Amino acid sequence: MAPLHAVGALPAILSNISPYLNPPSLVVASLKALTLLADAAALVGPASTCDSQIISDSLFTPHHIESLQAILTSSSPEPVAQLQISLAAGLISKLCAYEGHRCALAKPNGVLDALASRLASFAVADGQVIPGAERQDGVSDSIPEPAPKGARLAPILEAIATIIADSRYRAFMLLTSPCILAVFPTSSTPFTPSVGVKSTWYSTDPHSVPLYGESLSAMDYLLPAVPPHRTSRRLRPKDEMATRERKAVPGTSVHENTRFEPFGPNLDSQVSESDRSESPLIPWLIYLARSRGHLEGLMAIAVLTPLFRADFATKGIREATLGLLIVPTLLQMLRDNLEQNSENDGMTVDAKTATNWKILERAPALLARLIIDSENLQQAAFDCKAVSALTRLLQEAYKSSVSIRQPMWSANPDEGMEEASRPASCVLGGRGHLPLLIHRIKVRESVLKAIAATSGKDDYRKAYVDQDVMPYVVESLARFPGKPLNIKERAKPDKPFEEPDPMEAQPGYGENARSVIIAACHTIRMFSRSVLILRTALVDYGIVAPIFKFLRHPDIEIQIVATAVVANLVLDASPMREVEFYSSLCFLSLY
Amino acid sequence: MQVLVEQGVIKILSEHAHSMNAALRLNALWALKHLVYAVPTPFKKTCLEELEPGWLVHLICDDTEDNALISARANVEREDDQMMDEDVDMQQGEVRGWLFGSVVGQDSAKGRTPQMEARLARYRESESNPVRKARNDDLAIQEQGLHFIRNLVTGAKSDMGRSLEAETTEMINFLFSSLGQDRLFEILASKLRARVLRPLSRRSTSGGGRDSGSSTSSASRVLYPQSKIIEAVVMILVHFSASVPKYRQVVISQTPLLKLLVNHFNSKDKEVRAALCHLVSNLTWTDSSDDLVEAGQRANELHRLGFVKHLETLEKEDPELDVQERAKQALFQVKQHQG
Repeated sequence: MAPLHAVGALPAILSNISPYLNPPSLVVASLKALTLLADAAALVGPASTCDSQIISDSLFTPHHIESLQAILTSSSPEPVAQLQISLAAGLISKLCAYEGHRCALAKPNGVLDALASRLASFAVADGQVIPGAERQDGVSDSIPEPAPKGARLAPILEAIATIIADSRYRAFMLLTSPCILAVFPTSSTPFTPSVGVKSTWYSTDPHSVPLYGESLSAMDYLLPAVPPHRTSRRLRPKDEMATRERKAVPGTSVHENTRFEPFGPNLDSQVSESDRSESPLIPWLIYLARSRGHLEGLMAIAVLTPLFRADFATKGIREATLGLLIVPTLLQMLRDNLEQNSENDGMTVDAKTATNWKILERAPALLARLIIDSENLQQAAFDCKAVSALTRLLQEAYKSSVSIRQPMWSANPDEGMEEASRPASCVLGGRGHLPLLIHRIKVRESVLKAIAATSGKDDYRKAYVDQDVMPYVVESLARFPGKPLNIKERAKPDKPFEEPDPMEAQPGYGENARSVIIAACHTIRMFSRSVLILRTALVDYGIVAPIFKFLRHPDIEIQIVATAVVANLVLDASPMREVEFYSSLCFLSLY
Repeated sequence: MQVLVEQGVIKILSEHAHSMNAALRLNALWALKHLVYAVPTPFKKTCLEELEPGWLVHLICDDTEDNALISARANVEREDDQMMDEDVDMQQGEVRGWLFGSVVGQDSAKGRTPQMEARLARYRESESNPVRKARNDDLAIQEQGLHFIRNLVTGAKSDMGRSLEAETTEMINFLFSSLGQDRLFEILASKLRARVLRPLSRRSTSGGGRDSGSSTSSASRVLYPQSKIIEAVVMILVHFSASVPKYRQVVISQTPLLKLLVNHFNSKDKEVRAALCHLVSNLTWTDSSDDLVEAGQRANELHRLGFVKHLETLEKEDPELDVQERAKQALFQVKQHQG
């Protein structure tokens, strides 16, 4: 990378991506070159994002954003145009990681709207436009041309998900995008399907009719009917209260504070009901997640997740739908790909492996985001055996990757060279990491997030500990992890607080990024809410010493999470404190 | 815990509680709050001294993040004034860039209705406005600071056979002497009042800027006390009253504070209402016959301040069964002593 930067390759390539000024094949070639640069930058290591940042900062300038938008707006069926669209969307997914860039891409009538029109074109191609949409006033010309055969859906969905991230603002921007409104209008009159369809759909349970009521759109008929037993709680709030209270009795759930609140307080309380009806885009995305291939399905869920979290879905009903239709899909996807996870030498990555890896890297974190604020969805994940699937995936991520490249023998060993005297364009940049290791490190972070999100209750946490997840979590606390050892193999250090940390990577295990360490701390924090685990597993694995050291970590983010863990660790204490812990006059709020 | 304390965790956490980073301050205070719960009094004293009583007051009283934001804004504004010329240039550059894409721009200009635009603007404001975040950070830290005091005066672990009461009394004494008794009660009262933030902000007159809408709304605001904070304040008083008659007398003599509390019987938060009932119960509690006369005085004072009237309403009308029961208990005790 370094020599390419030194000769100014990036501006040269960027000058060729405008579709107005350059022939299509040159645009394709430039986009491909950028994609390769972005891929190479990602290999430099998760610890330094500097190279990716250089590329993204130069790509997401008003001028180039405009070029991207022009590419994405094109509805030409030519393969070359479709290739351009996929490449441009892919670049956005790879490079857009900063809030400022996301906002720049989400400007009204900008890239996000262009992507939305591409998305809508797929619905048109499949004949899934909401019936009657074309009769709306003044929007019929916003309905895009059907997507041509060669068009790829996954990159579009992924780019949209990347841009929205966790913003309610940008999620609403997508929902009100002209093409989306045209294809998926929020109809005021309920949709009545032909008698045959209706009776089949309702045959599962006639009682479900009143449950759905007005909010049911034509799109829902593409989905299986969700039996109402889960939502019935909603109708009988008293029952729910009763079960809640009973569940809350065990001592630890004093006040499990989740401070994670990206959207701020809900501003919609004052918005009238008519304004709140759900966009049919949401059931359509659920449908996509279940009917398309793995990657497309995953990306549909990635778009669906922020929409759900920003409360753009009908609350009670959709939660049940997600629990029964999406959570199992996501976990099944994970298991299928875990099995496919073929042996790879770690050096070269073919397209199939790349897809497989991407799913394994993204699915757990996505699951975490989807369920983190919903007890029902956490229960759904637990029922779908999330514990064993996630544990297995984490174990997989700590398999030693054997192929370590030995330095080639050379007649002129490096030492004699005087690096400084050569021009910058002739000095190679830092050595990249093995793609397999990068993949595993990403999986570690992602899985740890999912484990933390599925550890909301004592039972779930205990299930994880029983599955022997601890050694892997503990290794994730180390910057340079080694082979995860279970409790019997583990040597007890005499003075754990004075022992120096290993200062270089152990072959085959790589270097944990700080995001992995932070995710591991969160997982430990969740585990430490159980007194039992706090006293047994966490002590046995000696996590106190590493956490304590993190209090003095140079990285403030790590200090912050470590302090949060310590808040729970100091509660372990003497038997006397245990009594207080369970008593009714308990003024501790578990963190 | 033992091993952490040996390693000097108190010192580190106290340092972190002085950090510039709000999240770190919050977590450190949270950890300290847990640390001082149900431990021997000398240990509690060490924690308070390490944290520094003055700093604790600062954490509870001041809107640190909010103020930081204001000064940061003032700086930005000053820079803005200097940058004006460059800004104009940039905009022109942008216009030039847009010439190529004029076709695209016009094509999708329609679509969103004004209502949608308004909602978009609202979401954008709520996400990009740092005032809200600063406010939340400050409140969370203040709440933990109050909880810290509450845990200091509760659940003392009796050491070497001394009575729990003696321990608690000693701790409250220490707290009063290090923070100042009057000052402490004044702080608690201040947390119950609605406040006007920055009544004389210069920002409110500037106007005209791109984001003048958001800044005028945030420049001077009336802040009503949050239920979490109120609850924390009341619970501190509950614990003072749970100790010995002497401190019950101290609490009942805080007339301005109690007058403020009466207003919160109408709180929407059931925890606040329940805590207030709890406070009345504790204030009218008697350990021995020595306290009977004073308990009667306290009951009369509570009646005079309007507590009894509110309790009667709660007993009959509160939607929460728990609150009803607590109100009933409190009323029973008050009536017993009123004679």
